[in-house]
Amino acid sequence: MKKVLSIAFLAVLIVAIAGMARAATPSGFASTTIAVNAQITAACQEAQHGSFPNPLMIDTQSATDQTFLPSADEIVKCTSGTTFTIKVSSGNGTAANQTCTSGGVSNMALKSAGSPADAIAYTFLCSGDTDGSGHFTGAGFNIARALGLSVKVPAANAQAAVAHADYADSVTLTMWY
Amino acid sequence: MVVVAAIAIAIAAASGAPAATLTPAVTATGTVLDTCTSAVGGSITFNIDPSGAGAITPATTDAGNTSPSVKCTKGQTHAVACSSAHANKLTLGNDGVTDPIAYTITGCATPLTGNGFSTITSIPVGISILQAAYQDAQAGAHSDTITVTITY
Repeated sequence: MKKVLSIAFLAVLIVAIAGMARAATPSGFASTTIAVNAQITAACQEAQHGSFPNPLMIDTQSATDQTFLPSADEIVKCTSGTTFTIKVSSGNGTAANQTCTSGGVSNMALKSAGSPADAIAYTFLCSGDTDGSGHFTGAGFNIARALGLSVKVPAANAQAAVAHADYADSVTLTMWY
Repeated sequence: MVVVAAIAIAIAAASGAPAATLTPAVTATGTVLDTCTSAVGGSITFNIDPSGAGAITPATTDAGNTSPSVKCTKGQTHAVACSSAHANKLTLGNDGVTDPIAYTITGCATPLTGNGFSTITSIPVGISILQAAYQDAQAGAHSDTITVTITY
């Protein structure tokens, strides 16, 4: 009887030690995975609103075309690598949603507020396009891109213009991406 | 032990004379193993607007996402570790190279306590992406895989 009890005690002691060893040393591991999926959306935003000097001083005696640079270029930011285009519409001309390129958009018109019959046709240019055909490429939201706006008045149109101080046009730029 | 004693008294009454009693002791010892099984994966799916501001912090607990889970011995605490397949970077096409977006894993260091094998134990995990990491990212699907390891 005494021997049996001793064996039982020893067995319990071994089990206890084994349990202690298991607690101190990891005996295994289980693993699984998490799939992480992010969709980056194409987006654009205006970083600086474009504007031109007011008024543009058009020389009616110039023998060459006159190009006017903006006082503030239109600057945008778009998702890196995203291709976008700029569509131009003229408030006084017939151009409507024309793709703006470094070659320029025609059918733009400056019109006299006091004498609406007097107008000067001009070309609106976006010289910052990537490929000359109106495609711009976004550089991410840490880098702004200038559209390279300008207005060109052909010499013939300037020479034919009637003198007024109130020629104006409202140009709407729309980004497509 | 109580049952054994009652039987001994009954025998004595029936025989009418004292008798020697024998009360053998049997020690029953069961050890419940500390273990974990049935690990199930999770997912974090979200959109990034690169024109946005501030850090993005999606998590497995967000609506539409799922937390990984496991079943472990009740009451036992287990260390949890997470590791990324592509050095904590989301990449286009999950190739580990193209247009990487760095992120950090959050919440994974919290140990879990088992709920037994009738109840799963969820492991909430999140990630954090700084604005500087995503603002110049290209459009498209960026992915990575996080492996969650539970040690027992």
